[in-house]
Parts: sequence; C-alpha cells; structure tokens
Amino acid sequence: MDRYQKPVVIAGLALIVAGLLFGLVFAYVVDHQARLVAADAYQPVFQLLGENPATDWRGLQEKINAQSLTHASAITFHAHSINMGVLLILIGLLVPLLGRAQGSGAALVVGFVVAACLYPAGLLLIALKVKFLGEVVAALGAGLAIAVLALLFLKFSAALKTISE
Amino acid sequence: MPASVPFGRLDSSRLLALGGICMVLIAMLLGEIYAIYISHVANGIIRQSWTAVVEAATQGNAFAVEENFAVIQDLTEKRGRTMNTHSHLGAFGLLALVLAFIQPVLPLTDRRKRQFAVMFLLGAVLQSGGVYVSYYVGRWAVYLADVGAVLFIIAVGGNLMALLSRQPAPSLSETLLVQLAPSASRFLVKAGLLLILAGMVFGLYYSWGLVSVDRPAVFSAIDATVEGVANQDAATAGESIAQFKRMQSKIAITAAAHSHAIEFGLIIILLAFIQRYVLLDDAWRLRWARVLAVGAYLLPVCVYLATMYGLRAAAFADLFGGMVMLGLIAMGFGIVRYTGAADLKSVKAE
Repeated sequence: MDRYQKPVVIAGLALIVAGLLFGLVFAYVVDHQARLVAADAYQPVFQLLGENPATDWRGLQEKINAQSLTHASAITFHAHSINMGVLLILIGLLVPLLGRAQGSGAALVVGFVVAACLYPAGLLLIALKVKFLGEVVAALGAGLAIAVLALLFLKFSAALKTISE
Repeated sequence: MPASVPFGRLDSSRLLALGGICMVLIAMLLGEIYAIYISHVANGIIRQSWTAVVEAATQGNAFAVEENFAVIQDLTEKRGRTMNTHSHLGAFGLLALVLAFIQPVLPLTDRRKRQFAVMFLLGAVLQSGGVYVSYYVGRWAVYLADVGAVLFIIAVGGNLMALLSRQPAPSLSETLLVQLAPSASRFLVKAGLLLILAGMVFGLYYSWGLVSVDRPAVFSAIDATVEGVANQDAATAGESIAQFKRMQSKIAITAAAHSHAIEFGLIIILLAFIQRYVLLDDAWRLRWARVLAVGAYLLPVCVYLATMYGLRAAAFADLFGGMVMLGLIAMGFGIVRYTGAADLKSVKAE
C-alpha cells in the first residue's frame, strides 16, 4: 500500500492549493467578507422604496438574491476544497495501515481520491453558475466520499487492532 | 533529516506543529469570545435594526433606512471579520499540523523546509491578523491579509512542488506503527474518522434541506418583506423580516454544526499522530484523549440543538468547547515536556 501514499498526499496538497488560490482571487476580485447571505446588500432596494414606494424593485432584488447565492457557493468551494485536501493527506498518512487489514484496500483509496476531487469540482461548477451539472457532480462526490470513508473506517479499525504498544 | 525523527530542534516539523497547535487554540478561544460576546449581542441589535429599516421604508423615511442599514453593515462587518479570523486561524492550524507530518518526506534541504515553514506561519498570522484588525484600522489591513495569503500559498505550493519532483524521498510508513502505538493514538484515529463520517452524513442530509427548503425560505422571506414595504403593509413586512433573520440564523448555525464536526474530526486524527510526543503516562494520555473526544462529539450536537433550544443549547456547546480546549492544553503541556526532554538529551550528547 505504501506506493499509494505519495499520490494521495500530492492530491490532497493540490486540492488545498486550488482552494487557497481560489479564495485569494475571490477575495481580491469579488469581496473580502464571508457572508452566507449578504444582508446589507439589500440596502439599495429598501433605499429606493423609502424614497419612492412605486419603484419597480423586482429586477434589483433578483440580482441581489443571485449575487448572494454565487457568493455562498464560492465560499463553500473554497472551504470544502481545503478541508477535503487535509482529509486526503490524513488518509494518505494512514494508507500503509491498509496493508495490515484483509484485502488490499487499493480500490477504496483510489475511490476516495476521486470522491475528494469530484465533490469540490461540483461546488466549483455551481460557483461558476453551471448549476445543474455542478449539483449532480457534487452529490455524486459527496455520496461516494461517505460510502468509501465508511468502508475505510472499518478497514482502518481492523488494522489498528493488530498494532500493539 | 531522517523520517524516523519527526521532531528535531527547531526544525520545520516542530515549528509547524507548535504553530499549528497555537493557532487552533487561539481560533477556539476567539470562537468562544465571538459566540458569547459578539454573535448573540450583535444578533439582537441587527434584528432590531432590520425592524427599524422596514418601518422606515414603509413610512418613506429614506434617511432612517440609511441610518439603520449603517448599524446592520457595521455589526455584520464586525461579526464577519471575527468569524472569518476564527475559521481561517482554525484552518491554518490544521494545515500547519498536516504539513508538519509530511516534512520528513520532502526532498528539500532543512534550510529550505524551515524557510517554507516560517513563510507559512508568517503568512497565516498576517492573513488572519489583517482580516481581524481591518475592522478597527481600515481597509489597508485587508491588503496586508492578501500578502499573508500569497506567502502561505507559496509555502504550501513549495511543499507540493517538492513532492512532485522526482528526487527520492523517505517513506513515512516506517514510522506509522510507532506513531500509532499508544492506545490514545488508536482511540483518536477511530474517533476522528467516525466524527468526520458523521459530519459528512449530516452535511449531505442538510444540503438537501438547504437547497430545497431553507434557502428558498430565506429568499421568499426577504422578497415578502420588500413586497410588504412596497405595498405599505408594515405588519407583513415586519413578520417577513423576522422570518428572514430566523432562517439566516438557522442556516448559519446548522452549517457551523457540520463544519465543527469535520474540523474536530480532522484535529482528533492529527492529534493521534503526536500522542507519542505527549510526555504523559499512557493512562493519562488516553484520559485526555477521551475528554477531548467527548467535547468534540458533543459540541456540534449542541450547536445544532441551538436552532431549536436557543441559548440553553449554546451554553452547553461553550462548555464542550471548553473540554476540547482543556484536552488540547493538556496535550500541549505533554509536548512541551517532550521537546524539553529531547533538547536536554541532545545538549548532553553534544
């Protein structure tokens, strides 16, 4: 199993760098403030209505709602990409343990790397406004990651029993 | 540096490990301060200001709308910057700890590894510090944060490039069994993986609820508020803005429960690798590991319960956060004892 360690750690570091770079570019180009829904962004609508209740506010409102959603999706990609990267590196560090459990576990390791990359990729697509495809890819990635991690947990637990102090 | 000696005197592993633990601790302390002194207080004032905005807009008072939005903007920014610093410091701490473990396999000179480690730590301090002080000193500090971000991206990228090079590197697997030998380590690996798994399952379950129910509810509440204001219907607008705030809080708290479960899971696994360097009796190592795990499991649960039971559940979340910090501090003491003993040994050898 040792030969899988380096590629898994590299994949994790690459995900982290991608998340960090995206975060930096997003902060610089779009906004430095992390907000789930930018509440104060609605000020122009209320300001307009305060000045003139007959103003047509719907277009502006929809634009602000869409901006809030894009903002939330971008931050979600940034955070999940980094966390998945860290988890991948940790799995990479534990990979040699699989050699002590029954069965090779190689398919599980490869499956987790694929899932860890698919999930943030889906979130990135959503942030880039490719919504449907992004949601499908993210859901696939998340489902695969959970299933594989559950199996890895069982394998690692079995392998840990073979270690003594 | 051979792979079998992960903690040498002031080498990159030790710098990153100690820096990482400090950052995680500061992030947790900041999180507690944020939750107790900023978030709850700001939430109440923001809710009042939103009600005032709606009333003012319904009455056609544009000046009062602007005045109340200034309060919302100020508090949102204060809360956002503190929250941002808390989450970034925690993530930097985790990253620093992870990088500490891969230092022995990097085909770089000790000097270059140390340069990257210092660059990472300096970048993390500049980024999180810049974001935090920007609320108090102005926007220029945000650009300081960007410089910090560039520094640690170079540091992490440098580690990645080193691993990608074709130079032969020592394997970490030879030390793995030794690292996981203490019973506390094995307990923490299993506890951490299970917590991450639980956090991911909860995240997948909630993402469905978020996309299909909660997020549309937030947008429909703000739309109903604006519509109420446009129709001069203050009662509907007032009810809708209260619903908007409630839903926003629910989303933020539920997301916090999910992210805390995953982050605590990652911290727990990372701590499993350093139990060998916690110079405490094995029984005490296991006790502190259990204290930390209990806190880490129950904090996200209580955070989630805060969406139903409010501050009572939040108080329990603070209590369990304290348990995590206690466990971390105990392990920190153990590591300081270990590094002191190791230093003494090497001085005697010289």
